[in-house]
Amino acid sequence: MASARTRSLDALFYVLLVVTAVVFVGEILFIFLKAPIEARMGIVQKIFYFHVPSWYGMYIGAAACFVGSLGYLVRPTDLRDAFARAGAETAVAFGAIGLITGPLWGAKAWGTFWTWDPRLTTALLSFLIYLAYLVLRAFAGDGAGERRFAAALGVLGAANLPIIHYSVQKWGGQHPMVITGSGGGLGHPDMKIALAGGFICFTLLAPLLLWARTRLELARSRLLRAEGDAVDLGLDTRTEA
Amino acid sequence: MITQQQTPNDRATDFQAVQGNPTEQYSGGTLLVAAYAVLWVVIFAWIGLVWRKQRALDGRLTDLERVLDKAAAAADKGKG
Repeated sequence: MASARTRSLDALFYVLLVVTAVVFVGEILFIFLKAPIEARMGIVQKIFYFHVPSWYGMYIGAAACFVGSLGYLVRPTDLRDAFARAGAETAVAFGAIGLITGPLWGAKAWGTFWTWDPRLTTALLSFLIYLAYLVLRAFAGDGAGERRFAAALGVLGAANLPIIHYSVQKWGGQHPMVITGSGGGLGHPDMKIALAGGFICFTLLAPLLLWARTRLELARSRLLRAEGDAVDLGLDTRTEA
Repeated sequence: MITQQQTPNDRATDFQAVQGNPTEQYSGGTLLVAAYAVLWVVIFAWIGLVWRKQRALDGRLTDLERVLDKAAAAADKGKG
């Protein structure tokens, strides 16, 4: 039977889920019905309100992977490993959204889907690092050595994150600076609200997905351990045909 | 770090008249819809992936339960 703590955590999860869904719907309505169309780029600029927060979501996932991996290297536990793995998956999911929505916007703004701009290149590199982490976890087994190796990748992978952030300031390129550095900012109050709404959406969504994935991964680890115990007791856990 | 100083001449360009009917290379509306579709597709694909993993866990758990039940039945038989 579920403990009182588990039940209250479940309740918190469902509340967070409902709040996230409501905020998401509100944000989309605001973007399409209230936020003004940008003067030079037109309607395509509205991609911005989810494109930038999706990278923020990727940073949340990557930070979780870093914290979980570092924690695992210090003291290995199933929870830390599960958190790191969930973080890498979150980083890949949000990175994919950023990497696909960016070129769609760029096609209109720059006339090309992709250019080897410093910001784009370093962002792609980070995405590939976390994708490599997931490939490693999927195909290299789940032993202590593989987990430690993945944790080292999770820690080292985070080194590229500040480079993505500062690349546009240090090396220039085509990628615009709107809200960071010497960026010009958003000219209309509704544009600011739309972007803030996007950040709130992803601030809710990323931890929600992280939580769900960590819990699932933790359950998988516990099951793996129980299967191991069963085999040690001479029980065969393989499925009968 | 190499910094390039641009002179006004570097920005020299010329303008040409468009030939035939001018059309937009990419429609902003289509790109916007595609971007939002990608957002939802990625999120739902992930939910689907989590669902599949959950189902795989269920299957393994069922196997484990079956084996434990069998072992318990065998132990009862041994006692009796």
